[in-house]
Amino acid sequence: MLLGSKRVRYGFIAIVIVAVVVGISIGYVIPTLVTPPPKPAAPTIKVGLSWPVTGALALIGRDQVNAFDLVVDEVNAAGGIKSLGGAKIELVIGDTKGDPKIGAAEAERLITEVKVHILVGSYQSAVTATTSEVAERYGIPFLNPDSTSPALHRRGFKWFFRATPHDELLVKNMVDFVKDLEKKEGKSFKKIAIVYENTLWGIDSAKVIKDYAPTLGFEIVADIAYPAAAVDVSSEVLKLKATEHDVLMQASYLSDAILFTRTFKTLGYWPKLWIANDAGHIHPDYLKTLGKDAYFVFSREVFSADLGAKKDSIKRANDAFRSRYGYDMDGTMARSYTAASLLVDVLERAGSLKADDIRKALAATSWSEAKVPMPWKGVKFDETGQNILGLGIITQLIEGNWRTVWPFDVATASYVLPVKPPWA
Amino acid sequence: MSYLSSRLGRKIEAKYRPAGESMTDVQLMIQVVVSSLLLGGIYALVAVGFNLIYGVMDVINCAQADMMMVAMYVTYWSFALGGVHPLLTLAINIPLFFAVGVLVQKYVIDRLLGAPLFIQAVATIGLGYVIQNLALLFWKEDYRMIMIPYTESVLRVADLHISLPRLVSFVGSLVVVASLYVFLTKTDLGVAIRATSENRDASSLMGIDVRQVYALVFGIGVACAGVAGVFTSTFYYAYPMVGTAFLLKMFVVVVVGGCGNLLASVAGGITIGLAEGVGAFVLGASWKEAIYQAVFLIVLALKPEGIFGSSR
Repeated sequence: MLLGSKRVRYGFIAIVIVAVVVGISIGYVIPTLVTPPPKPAAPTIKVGLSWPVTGALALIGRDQVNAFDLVVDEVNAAGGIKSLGGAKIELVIGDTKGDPKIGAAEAERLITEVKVHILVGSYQSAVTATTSEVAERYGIPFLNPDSTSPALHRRGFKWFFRATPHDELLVKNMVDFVKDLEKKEGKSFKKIAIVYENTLWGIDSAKVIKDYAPTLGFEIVADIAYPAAAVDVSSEVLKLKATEHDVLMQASYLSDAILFTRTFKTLGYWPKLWIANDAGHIHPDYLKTLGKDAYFVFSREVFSADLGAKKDSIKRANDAFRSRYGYDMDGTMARSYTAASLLVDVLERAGSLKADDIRKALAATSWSEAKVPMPWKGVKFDETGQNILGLGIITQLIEGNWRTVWPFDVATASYVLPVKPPWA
Repeated sequence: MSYLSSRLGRKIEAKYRPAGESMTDVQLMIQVVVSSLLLGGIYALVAVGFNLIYGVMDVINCAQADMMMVAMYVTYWSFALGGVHPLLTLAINIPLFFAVGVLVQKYVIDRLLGAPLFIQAVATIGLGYVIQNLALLFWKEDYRMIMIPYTESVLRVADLHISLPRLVSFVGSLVVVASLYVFLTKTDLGVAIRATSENRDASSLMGIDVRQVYALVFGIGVACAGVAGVFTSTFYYAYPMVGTAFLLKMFVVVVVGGCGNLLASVAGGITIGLAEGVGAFVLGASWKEAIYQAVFLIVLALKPEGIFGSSR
């Protein structure tokens, strides 16, 4: 018999029934117990947060919610949105679990059932693509603090606004930095070697460099794509040794970034100027694993908490975050904080909860450099909804700390150009 | 901070050090070949246990690479918690993984011995998933690497850079294969194993306890994964999915060398290592995977039993 004896079968059925009952109670009963009591009389502004608060990206998603919540709590405590008669902001989370399909379904729920006035999210570009599509369909403003795929603002959407600079601009910063460095040093760094993992991200960012660098007079002398799951990168590094170059630009995830740096050491290779494209090199485990061998690598970045020393708005934001949560913000949290501050400003200016009025206020945003708690020139959206005043920064791992070294006017430390590898 | 041109100033030394030391083309090519050879030795080591199990038992142990992953963690934790030098972990790993192999054979594989190959493969794939996810549960997805002077050592031989842990791993894999070879050809047990591999029923009739032989073979095979884990963790990082990085290579190495032939694993490993390393250097790194897969296809087309395999 397939399910064994009768007793076993009854036992099995009993377990299934118990499981179903427990499942239903968790699914339906508990949420009703924790649902807040009936709404207060004052109007509330419902803001949907579409972020991954469970699953593999849960930690990142929760940090984003925390940063957002920080701003909202302050505003609510100070009397809410004045132009709306002191209306309070209520945050409603739509957990994407990091999945485009789930994100879209949750966005739909937030819009049709919760009836949010604006949607914010969704971290990963692939998820933002679907959630913002839902918002577009229903005509709800969508504010994206943090997704960097260049394609997102080129879809001709009416309701989509992106505060962060996108990958194209951020990657171009790597080349701009070299150009600025040349001027400052009075030296030439003409020959660029690029090494990148061969999935969409690596290939796309390499393409930006290959298209952009020659327009500034640089020459791409080595173009090395490698499989991201590589077990060995000796041939790649030897290829670098065999090609004379001034600059190495590298786009790697964590494991391959570690492997490359170790292979540099094993094979005695050291670039004159080494600029990483974010991702693996800025992951805390990269430094933790390699220690001193990781020193002096430059990386493009979007934010660094040490910028507070140069810019008051960043210091204020980071201090507030730090005193409530106990650690510094990174670029993702800082962009979430920025989006929340932006939203408060937009609501004040809109003076209405009509979708169209909120959209108009978003489109009319004009923030100065001093106001924005990011190393940007400000916030101003073009007709595609892209913030055109966003900027990236270049950081360097100096003495075990990431320090901002470019743009030179916001730098918190002078860059170091070591003439010998850190292990020599 | 003598190696910094100047820490806070903006002046840098007038003359840059060239990217790496200058090497002539010939030296560079020799370096590529040496690095690839060492890589091939590692592939061979990973594949040898798998090949032994397949050769004798006709069982495809898809969990072999995941067992190696566990061995890497044992090595890492022995070092991180007990300060044990990775090479000394061999003394722990060989008996430990032999025992694991015997147990797996007894409780998983033995039940599937007459079953179709597909079912055995799925069972070992499942076992691999269980191991991977347990590792994920206990040790998280962090990358863990042993950083001590030994794992950092580089030998300089006539302008060549040779990573000491890779060289030791290469030699280690040759030693493992050689001792297995001696064991299989010179001892009674070895003869019993070979007899079982040639004809299970006849050996059984000759009084060989086939079950015992299988337990022994699976134990040795998994112990090989234990050894491979020790060596691999001296130059690569441990993480729960590290097995998948090696699994496909393992299959290719075994098929290219010759299924069920131990010495062929070494040949297969070196062939794939060279194809990958030299190919990537000459044609470009993005061709890496394509090159060794092409070698694989060519061997399959021209000599399906493998370069050193004999058709049975």
